[in-house]
Amino acid sequence: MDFVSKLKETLISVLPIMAIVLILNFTIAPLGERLVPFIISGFLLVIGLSLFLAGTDIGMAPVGEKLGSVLTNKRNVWFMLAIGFIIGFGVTLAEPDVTVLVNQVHSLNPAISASLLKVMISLGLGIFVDIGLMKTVFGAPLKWVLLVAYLIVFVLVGMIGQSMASISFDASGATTGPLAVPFLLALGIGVSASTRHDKDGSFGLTGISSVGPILAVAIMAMAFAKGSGEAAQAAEAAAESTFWTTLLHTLKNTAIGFAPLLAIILVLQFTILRFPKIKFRNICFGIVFSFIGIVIFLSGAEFGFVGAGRQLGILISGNSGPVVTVLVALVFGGIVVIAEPAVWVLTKQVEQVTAGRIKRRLVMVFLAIGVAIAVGLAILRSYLNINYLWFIFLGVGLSLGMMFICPPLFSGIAFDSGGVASGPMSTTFLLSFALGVSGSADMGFGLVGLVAISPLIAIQILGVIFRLKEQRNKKEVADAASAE
Amino acid sequence: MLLLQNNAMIAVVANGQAKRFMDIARAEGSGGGTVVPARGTAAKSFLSFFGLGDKSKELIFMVIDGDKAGRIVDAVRKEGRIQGVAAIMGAAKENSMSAKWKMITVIVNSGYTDDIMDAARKAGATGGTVMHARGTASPEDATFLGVTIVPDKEMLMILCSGEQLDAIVNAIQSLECLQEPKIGIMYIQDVTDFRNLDPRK
Repeated sequence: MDFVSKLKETLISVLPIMAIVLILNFTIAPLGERLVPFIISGFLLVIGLSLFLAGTDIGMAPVGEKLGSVLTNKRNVWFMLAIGFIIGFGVTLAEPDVTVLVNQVHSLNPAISASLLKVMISLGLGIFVDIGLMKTVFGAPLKWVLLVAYLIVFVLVGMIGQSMASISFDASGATTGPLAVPFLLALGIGVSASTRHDKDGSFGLTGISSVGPILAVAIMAMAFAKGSGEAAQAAEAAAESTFWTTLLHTLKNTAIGFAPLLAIILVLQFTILRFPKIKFRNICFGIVFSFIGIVIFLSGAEFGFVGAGRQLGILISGNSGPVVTVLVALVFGGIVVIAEPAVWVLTKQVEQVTAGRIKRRLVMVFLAIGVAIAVGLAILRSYLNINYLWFIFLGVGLSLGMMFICPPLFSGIAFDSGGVASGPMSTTFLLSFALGVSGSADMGFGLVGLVAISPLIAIQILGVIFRLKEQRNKKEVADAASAE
Repeated sequence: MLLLQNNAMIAVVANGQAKRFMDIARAEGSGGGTVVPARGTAAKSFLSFFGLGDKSKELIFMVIDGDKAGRIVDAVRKEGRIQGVAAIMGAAKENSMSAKWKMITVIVNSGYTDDIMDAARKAGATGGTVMHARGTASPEDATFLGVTIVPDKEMLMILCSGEQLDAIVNAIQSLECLQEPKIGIMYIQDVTDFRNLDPRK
């Protein structure tokens, strides 16, 4: 839609990271020959991401919205669930964040097939989109749906061990990336707007959907328990590839990822969506823009960002010791979350919901602190050799428990926003930094998952504060009344 | 319910400028207005062909005396920092057959405005403003699992000169995708005054 304003948004999100990397480059971690590719890829990231976001606005968002309202208009639950599943599956296959993640997993642990992992993640998301849709239609309380889902997650994750557990939580954070989130939000709003439930109903679809990939990866890990037990080795083979081979490679992979989604949208257009001619032409252009944007974004990420992130991790942890490394991680975490475009949308939402009583800046501060702690912990973990499962049990357990003292609206926003904080910047840059620091897949993965958990706690703390504030206001009013 | 016999003013400004507009309007004696988020369709047909030219806008609706409305527009132009347009429409009583400008308003099911705008542009319209809206469900609309279904709508406003009116209206009415029954409605209003808020234009 508005390419220039998207360009501004993404510049704000990428520039701070580039600035810090440059500062580090001239102080404690000289990147050497990786510096130039890093800077080039930074600008590729900006252009690619803006083009992609502008494309989703005119291509994906209208399809998602129309689909939401058409599905409820059909008044057929089974039909709605079938389409919800197919769409969730197709969108995740094309999601760029997931592609970045599975490629990193594969490069460090060749025993895990990248395409199988991707298909499993997509399947998990598709199934849980259905569960989320059913929740909206029947008006079931979000609390209990999430509680049951995460209980199953705890059991499965406990069985597969921390190495795969961390990948499964990363997968969950990555699925709710820039392609899926607008789609899921639109679908959720479409369904709940045309069913006219109370307004809490429109939140939660993204939150529930993102549980699916955890379960799917966990199930896959159990089925292939032997394969994942092999020693993980850092493969640096990608280093010598030129920009053009990277571009061609990404072009091919993205085309394969996009094909199912494109086919689904085409079929839907001629069966149930039936957009008029010009509108459909614009949607097609939108999808083409998203496609080109993703290709540029992914090539940029693979060409310079991932390599530089890993190199930084290796250099800083090697030269400056644990304390500096954790400090750098804290700074990266805080800056990445403030820079993430989707976070700006979320904070605005919270301000609106509370009618301005909880200020945007306060939410930002909470999120930044939360994510900084998450990234810091993820790095600290690789030094202290703490089992990842502890983080999951404590973090998710705490978030689930807080649902009982926090206003439901905030819990809904919190669980939806889990994926918001873990956007393209964390999967490309932060994750590779963590992998560089730890030097092994066992310890490096899990960062995206932790980043995704921290908003659950941060936003719900705000919810509790909001409730206390309201109670105090009410009490003051009552006191004033009784004084008279 | 207060029934006002004044003129109506509709201003479309760049996203985020509605507050500044209202500050000026209030200083000139306006009692207040209603702001609606809207989408401006592109004037340049090259960008609109790729669906890329649309911009976020804010639409301000204000019921106000005609003279005051004129003064507000003057004041906004004098300040010179707001990009947008303003149209002032006559009260119901006034006879203005000779009005130079017309406002076409189309309310249709969601998803049709791109096609309507494309047809209107070919017939000479320069641009339009789209608002997202919701139809009130009619009693015969069935329910789904106990909940009423509310249709999504889009409201499109196109301002044009009196000479262009017939061509644009015909172009919209003959659109193939609008031939189904119950797809939407269209009405035309007289505009007594239309000016650009940016003094340079």
